[in-house]
Amino acid sequence: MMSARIGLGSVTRKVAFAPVIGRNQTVLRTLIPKRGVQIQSLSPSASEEILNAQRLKRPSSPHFTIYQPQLTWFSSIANRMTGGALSALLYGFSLAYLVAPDTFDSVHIVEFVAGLPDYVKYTGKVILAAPFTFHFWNGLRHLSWDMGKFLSLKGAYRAGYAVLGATAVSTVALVLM
Amino acid sequence: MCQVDGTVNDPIEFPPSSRTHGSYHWAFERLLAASLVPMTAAAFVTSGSSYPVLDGLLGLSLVMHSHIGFDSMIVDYLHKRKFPILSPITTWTLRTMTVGVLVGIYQFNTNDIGLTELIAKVWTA
Repeated sequence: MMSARIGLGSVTRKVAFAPVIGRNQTVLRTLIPKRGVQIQSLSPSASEEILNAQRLKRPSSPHFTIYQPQLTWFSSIANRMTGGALSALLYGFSLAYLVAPDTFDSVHIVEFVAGLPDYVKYTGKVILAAPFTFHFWNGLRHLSWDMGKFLSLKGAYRAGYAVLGATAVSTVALVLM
Repeated sequence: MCQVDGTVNDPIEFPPSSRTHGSYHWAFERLLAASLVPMTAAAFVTSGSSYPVLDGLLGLSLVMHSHIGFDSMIVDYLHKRKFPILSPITTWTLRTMTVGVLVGIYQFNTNDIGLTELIAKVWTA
């Protein structure tokens, strides 16, 4: 038989001999009790409350401290920090001069610096020259990225090492000036 | 706590496109940063007292460059979406300070020896 050859024999036999009740879907639905799941309609604010409660229980994702220090992202944040520090100095001095021009005039500042011991002067020069030169050279690196240069990983690293080298050389040169 | 705009399934609303906030702003930032390079070089070889225009330009450009830098830090770390009160306060504090700084630098360049001369004198003090 055709049905036996393709393996439908048992199925056709089952349907044929099954009680009428099992074949009638309407009867089946009324006989089998409903499961205890109910859908509740929530207002947007209520659903947001549930979402926020769930978010509070979520584990924190690992912070950037899990990443290996690499030249690519270290130079990026260093660029922001050096720029911010230099700008803070510029803002601090200008506002100080605006508020108290007789205290923060050039004569007083130069006099004050001249009276400092040599090691403080040299340390101060390094503290000023290193961020300035780094931000200067790395700024050029950023501008060259903006022009589409050194955008490959290798290029970014090469330019990064060049920035570090130029920073070291020009910091020493400025401190010795 | 981060809040959701609208209901939880609403998509993000994109801000209307604006060249002033986009390409013009981006190009201006880069031109400003690039123009600081020859200005810095000029400041090294000249004296601010004999070229007061350079001091004026440098004071204005450095302050604008700094303002943009500080402002992008606020956008990155203190965004209005997450800090609805602190963020505008910081932005307006920065704006006020920048105006004060511009006035202060102008006063120093006008009544005192100027920025480049000050740095040169302090460096060799």
